[in-house]
Amino acid sequence: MGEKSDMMTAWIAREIVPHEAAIRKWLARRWGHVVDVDDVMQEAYCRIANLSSVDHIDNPGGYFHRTANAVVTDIMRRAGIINFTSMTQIEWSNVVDYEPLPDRTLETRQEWERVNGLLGKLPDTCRKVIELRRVEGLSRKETAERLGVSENDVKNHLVRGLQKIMGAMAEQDDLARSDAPPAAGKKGEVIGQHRPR
Amino acid sequence: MASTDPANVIDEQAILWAVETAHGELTPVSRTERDAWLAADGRHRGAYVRACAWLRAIEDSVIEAHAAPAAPSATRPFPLSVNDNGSDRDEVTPRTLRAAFFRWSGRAAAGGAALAMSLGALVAVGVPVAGLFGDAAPVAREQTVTLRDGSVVMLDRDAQIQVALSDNIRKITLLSGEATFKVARDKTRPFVVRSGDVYAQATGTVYSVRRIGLTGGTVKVTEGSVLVWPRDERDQAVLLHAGGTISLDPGPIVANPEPQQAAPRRLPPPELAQISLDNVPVRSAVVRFNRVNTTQIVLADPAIGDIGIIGLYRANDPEHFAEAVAAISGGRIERSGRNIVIKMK
Repeated sequence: MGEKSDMMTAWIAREIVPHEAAIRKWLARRWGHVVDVDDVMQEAYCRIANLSSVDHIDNPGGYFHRTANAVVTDIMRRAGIINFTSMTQIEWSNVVDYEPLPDRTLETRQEWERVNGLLGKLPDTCRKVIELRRVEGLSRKETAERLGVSENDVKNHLVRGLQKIMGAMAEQDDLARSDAPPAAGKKGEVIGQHRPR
Repeated sequence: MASTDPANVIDEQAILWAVETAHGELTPVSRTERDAWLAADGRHRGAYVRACAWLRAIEDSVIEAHAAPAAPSATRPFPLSVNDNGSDRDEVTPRTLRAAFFRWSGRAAAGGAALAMSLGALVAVGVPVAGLFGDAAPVAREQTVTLRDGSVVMLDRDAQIQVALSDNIRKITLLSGEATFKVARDKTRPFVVRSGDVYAQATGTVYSVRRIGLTGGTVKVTEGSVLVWPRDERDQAVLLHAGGTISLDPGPIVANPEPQQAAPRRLPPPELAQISLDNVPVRSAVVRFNRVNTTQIVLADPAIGDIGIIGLYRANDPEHFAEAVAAISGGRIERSGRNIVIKMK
């Protein structure tokens, strides 16, 4: 990975990832019956990663929210669904916020706490691997030796840890989705699964 | 072009690639394979970026959790969570923790790191401590304290402060942890919080200070504005406005360390300091940017230095500032090595 994409990953890890759970919840509640939240997330991350610079983004949470909303809009447009804009527009005016309000810090902190709650679910072995690799700076080989496992196992522990955390977050919005009114459910399934473009 | 795989299959694959890239030894073959997969679909790229970012976030939090409990115990300066057996640990951990700190500060508060390097020695040993809590009993536990001047201090669980209020100054020393200050307005008595060798001064405002290691601190402003400076550099203080954060760690004074203090405890939050310019001559603004950045701005034409400039700039982004200067002076910028040269057309 190049220097720039590494910086970008660091920025996204810091500024975007903490908001993902909240944005997912909002997506699931608001659009869960029409779009696939995972699809929207992939597309939104792709758009953010394609930015040449993030210097202009003062409020990453708001930016992420806007990006996700734009992705939903595009998916709907491609699916030929019209007459949804007015609804989002109203909701939009409640959400968009470019000003760094005093409580912004607090809010970010709460997002972080939510993420930290998720991170508590990280399996111990995976945590050890990360500590050995990133705190002690061992190579994958040395890490494997220290833990008495194969190098491939080291990788698998990381993969499983990452799957677990990201899966736990996705479950949260499944819960949110089941809260959503079932009214539009039928139609949503069709559009969501056939992935119109 | 577009993949028909369901989102969760893509996510699984993306996680594999993210781990392989960050923790594996990618062979040229698998690198090509990865790039082909990424090129196949925008959703692949999105899922991959997301997986990399989550991996990174998880790693950062593990690193931070590893550094965090390392505070006040002198007998056991670092949390031993992996294996307690080796003497190598004692020597490895501090080094890598410091490396982790610089990794953060290098990216986020480049200003702090650069400042740390440029600082000379001395000053500010032993602020006289008196007042509310006395020397012997610094405040512990999570609580809110109202000082005699009406200011309110919210202390985090492991925060410790010492307070010295006098007729012409209100001095607070943050011994450890993080505290938020709601400062009662009193122009005649500046309210100064000291964290290690970092000072933050305000009159009527809300801000928090977090201790970093022996000498450093992170200042985060919620309301109003705060002046922040290390050691005796008050004349070069950075003015932080609401929403701004700065982390400084001037590093130990070689001749006079404070041995009773413990190891680095928390990594600074990765937010950026800003430099606020209110019709300041370009010349002096350039000096401020050059102090905190390795990229140096050079004014090829002294006339540019006389122009006044207004605005709020990120302290670690001299490039943008240089562009702004070029724009208002009608000049152009040119890069030469580490320098940005601003010339008249």
